[in-house]
Amino acid sequence: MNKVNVIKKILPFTLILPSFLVMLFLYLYPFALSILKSFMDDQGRFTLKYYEEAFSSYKQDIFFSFWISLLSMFVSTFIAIILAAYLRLSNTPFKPIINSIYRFPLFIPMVVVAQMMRTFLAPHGLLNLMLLQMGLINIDYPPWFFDWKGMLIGFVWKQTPFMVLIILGGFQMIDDSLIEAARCVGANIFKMLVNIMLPLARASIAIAMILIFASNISTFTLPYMLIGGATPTTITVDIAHRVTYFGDWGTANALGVVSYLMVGAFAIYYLREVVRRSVYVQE
Amino acid sequence: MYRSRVLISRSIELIALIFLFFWIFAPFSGLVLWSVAIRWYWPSYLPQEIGLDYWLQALGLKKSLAIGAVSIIDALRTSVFIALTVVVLAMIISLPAGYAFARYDIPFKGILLFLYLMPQAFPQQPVFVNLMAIFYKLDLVGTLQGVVLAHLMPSLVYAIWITTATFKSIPPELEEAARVSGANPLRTFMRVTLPLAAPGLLASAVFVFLYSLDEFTGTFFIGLPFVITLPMLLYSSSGYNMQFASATAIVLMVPSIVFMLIIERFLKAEYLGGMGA
Repeated sequence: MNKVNVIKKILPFTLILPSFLVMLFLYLYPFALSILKSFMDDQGRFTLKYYEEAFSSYKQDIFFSFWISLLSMFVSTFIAIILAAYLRLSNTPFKPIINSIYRFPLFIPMVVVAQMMRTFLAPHGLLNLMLLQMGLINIDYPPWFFDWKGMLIGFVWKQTPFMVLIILGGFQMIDDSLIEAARCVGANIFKMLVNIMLPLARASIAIAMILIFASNISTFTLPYMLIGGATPTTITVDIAHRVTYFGDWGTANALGVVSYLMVGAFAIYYLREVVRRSVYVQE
Repeated sequence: MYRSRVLISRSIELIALIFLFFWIFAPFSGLVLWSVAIRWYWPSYLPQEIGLDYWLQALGLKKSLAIGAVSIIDALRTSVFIALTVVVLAMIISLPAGYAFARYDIPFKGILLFLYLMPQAFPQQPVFVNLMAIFYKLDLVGTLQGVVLAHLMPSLVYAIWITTATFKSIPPELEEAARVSGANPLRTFMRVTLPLAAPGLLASAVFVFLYSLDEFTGTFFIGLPFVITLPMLLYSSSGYNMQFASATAIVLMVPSIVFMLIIERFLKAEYLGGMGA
């Protein structure tokens, strides 16, 4: 009997152990290292010089990473809320078509999105070609998109469908009777959205916003292929340059810690929320 | 009055649909056009000369003379080999872990889940950069093993979450019934739990496969310049040759679209955000 109890106690741990070891060595250890090394010089003494270097050389890029991620996230959220509300409320024949095509970007890897935007937004690319045919731009000076504009378009293109999925999930939990009741008292779509749907789905909306903001901040492919070393670029590009060109892990890690801090509070809120739900709420 | 309002709202919907169609497929059409363009000079709407020349070269069906020529087949072989290895490892590790998370009361469960989800919420690039420093000492940089390990870490996050959700969806009563009728735990698992969990586990495996196939950042730091996967090939050809880069991008995109359409209904919305970081 005693032996059975011991096995019962040990079994779950044994089952989890391999995955824990992998996460420990391949994630937690390098994660801790990235923080520690940002404060340590070659001799292992405490230093802030990497942060000084990061803030003096890359202040503009840190700022750029932050606002482009935030702006893209807000634009995505705005479009996603409208699209999700439409998919929740509409019953017209257009709905199934829209429902099946909006999610296409979800399945496209970011590196392909980056390449797509490189061809589409190039000075002599398809977009400028169309603008030219419409007579909106000068043929000799086509507009340049390989900066914040291209990033914005790329991020919104790739990330909005994911936000729609999450927010639509929140909207679908709202009872039909509540929406019918609002319709009966004559609420228009805008009022219904602001007074009923948004407040009731705020948890889903918050989660979608946090995940997309964090994902934007940490995206490496899109800025690397679209902007590269031009100024301003994102800190993910700076980190890659620091490591591959200069072998300078210190400044790269300081920039990495800055990126942790940018998502920090939001990420911890998200993690706690998910953990709370899966531990205390039976699915 | 009512009819005209319906007419107006339908027209708005139609315009929105056309715009959505353009927004989604215009960037994509540029990719397709470039992959078959032999000559395309600005400002012509369509390529002056169209042909499958570059496709044949990229797929190794024709001897390649162009600058920046790529071999998609070699990269595809490397990518698929890595992805299959990652799938096998991830499933071996996540199957017991997912089962334990779904069925047992584990102390520190909250902390463990927190740890397992961290890669999803925090930037991964600094972790890969430091993994690169660690792997240098272990001689794993630029090797297939190193890239497999780099892919394994983030894939495991999704694999464990999907398998946990799968096992949770199977009522424990079914297992208990098998036990009562005399089957031992292992037999119960093999005969009852595993067959019921098969669709979810398959979805998890396919997800991991696609994740590894599309992975960029980890391969960039750990694998280059020796391990050339499809995303690396796309990256390296993208600055030099539009046609080869576009062809590679299309090859990379097809499996993601096909498989995700099949397994999408088995997955929670949260997982889909992890695709192709």
